[in-house]
Amino acid sequence: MELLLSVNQLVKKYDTKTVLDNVSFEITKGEIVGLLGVNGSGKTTLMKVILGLTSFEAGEIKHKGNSNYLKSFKSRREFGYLLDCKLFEYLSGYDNLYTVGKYANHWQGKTKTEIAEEINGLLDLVDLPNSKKRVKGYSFGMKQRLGLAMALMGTPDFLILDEPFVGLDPVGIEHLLGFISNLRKDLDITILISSHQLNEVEQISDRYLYITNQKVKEVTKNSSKKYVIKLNNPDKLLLNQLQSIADIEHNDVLFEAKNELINKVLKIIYQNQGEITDIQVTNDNLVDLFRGDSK
Amino acid sequence: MRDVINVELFKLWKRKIFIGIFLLSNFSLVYSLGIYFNWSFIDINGKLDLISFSASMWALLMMLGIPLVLFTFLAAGTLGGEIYDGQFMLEITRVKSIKSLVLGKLISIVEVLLSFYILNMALSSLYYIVFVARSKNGLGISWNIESYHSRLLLVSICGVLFLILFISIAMVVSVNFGTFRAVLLSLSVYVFLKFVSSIEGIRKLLPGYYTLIDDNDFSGLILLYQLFIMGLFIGIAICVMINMIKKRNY
Repeated sequence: MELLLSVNQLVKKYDTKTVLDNVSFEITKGEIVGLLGVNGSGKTTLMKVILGLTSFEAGEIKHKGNSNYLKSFKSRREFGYLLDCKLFEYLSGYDNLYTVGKYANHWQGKTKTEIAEEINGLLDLVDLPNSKKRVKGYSFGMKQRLGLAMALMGTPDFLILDEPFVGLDPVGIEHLLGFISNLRKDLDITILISSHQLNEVEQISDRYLYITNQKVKEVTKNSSKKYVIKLNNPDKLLLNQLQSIADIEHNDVLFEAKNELINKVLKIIYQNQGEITDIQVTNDNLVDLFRGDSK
Repeated sequence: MRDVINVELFKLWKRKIFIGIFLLSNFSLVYSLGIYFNWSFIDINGKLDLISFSASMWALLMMLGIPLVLFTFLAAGTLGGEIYDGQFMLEITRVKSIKSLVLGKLISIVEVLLSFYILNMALSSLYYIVFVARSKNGLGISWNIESYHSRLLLVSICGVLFLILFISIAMVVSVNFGTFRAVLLSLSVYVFLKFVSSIEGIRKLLPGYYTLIDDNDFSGLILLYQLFIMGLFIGIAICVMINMIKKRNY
């Protein structure tokens, strides 16, 4: 497999505070890698460092073996990204794409018709209408999709997505998950995707990088799953009964994803009139990691 | 870099900045109509010819500080505004170089300024021909260029260069302070220069002497010095700006 990105002994500090400490990992072509960690763990910083938006104190990052990739316009064009960046709110979706393409010199040598075709193709791809409506009037989901269209302009070979599921409704999340999977399948794009929502990242990632205590841990995908049921103000009696068959963390009930167990747990919750706020099925390893960090 | 300039102009166009520029360029229409209809609140002593009327209208605009506020605001918004609002990230990773991005932004604002200056002079000339030329304050229409015409035009061009200097200052300051504080700090620099220019011994050495002092001495040497000193400061501002952008974390 072709090595696309390698990060070696990376150190990033904000003033005296170390955010990333001797971080090393590699990403090979065609992978979808989930970048996980609790809020403030340094996921966005790591992505910004890779994109050259933030400097770093020590270490080396290589893209296709080249550590000077940020100085090369050609290399930088191979990156697409969706960060928490604001769009040009006074422009329409079409004009936003046109503007970004213009900065990237992407329209050079193309006719007006070719430019329009490409922009409309990108808007179609992310299911956005080509209207004159300004982005200011877009919903959050529409803005996310427009950001994704920007990221895909010029068909990059490496896509960096920072919290792409935030603010999306379940249908939007489902749509985006399918879309990201297809990107890899159809275009062979390598993707680094950050999130603190385990479920979504788990569905599409091949493996995970987990940031904790300024370090990156490589986490392999485990076939073993866990259910996490979140309860609203459960009473002591309910929790005591659940404790015999499941782990209790605050108001979360965690147990192995087996059918007989879920039946038992749900029965106890139902009998004690407990209120379920959320149910998640997630990777065993990841739950343990997050539980360790949030303590 | 032309792509960056064009896209910056495109964004300004979409923000309808040019409507404001066009309306402001019609500033002299009020004076022209005032002279034509003898409005009491328009009081102009003496007679004016085409060039002196146009140059006076520009000087009056400069004295009111309208172009200074407008262009420092535009310049700070196009750089610092986008840095603080987050759109700058969309640009900096995509352009060929930071230098071309920064220069492209600066040049686009300078191009708008030059359009404003030319449009302002052209419309002032038009309104002079239509309303002022045959009025009590007009000297008719003559196409003869006298030496004092050249002086008036050169002084007004120095005013444009002075504005470019302040555009550069506003952009530098905006990198770390955002749009509004950059405009305020730039205006503070202007007020400081205006204050210092009251000192007889050093006023000619200050950048913007011809803009800061109404009753100025015109000479080729002072003009050359002014062009040099303002060009030097603009150059320094550009270098500082590029370095600040390169070193900044986004």
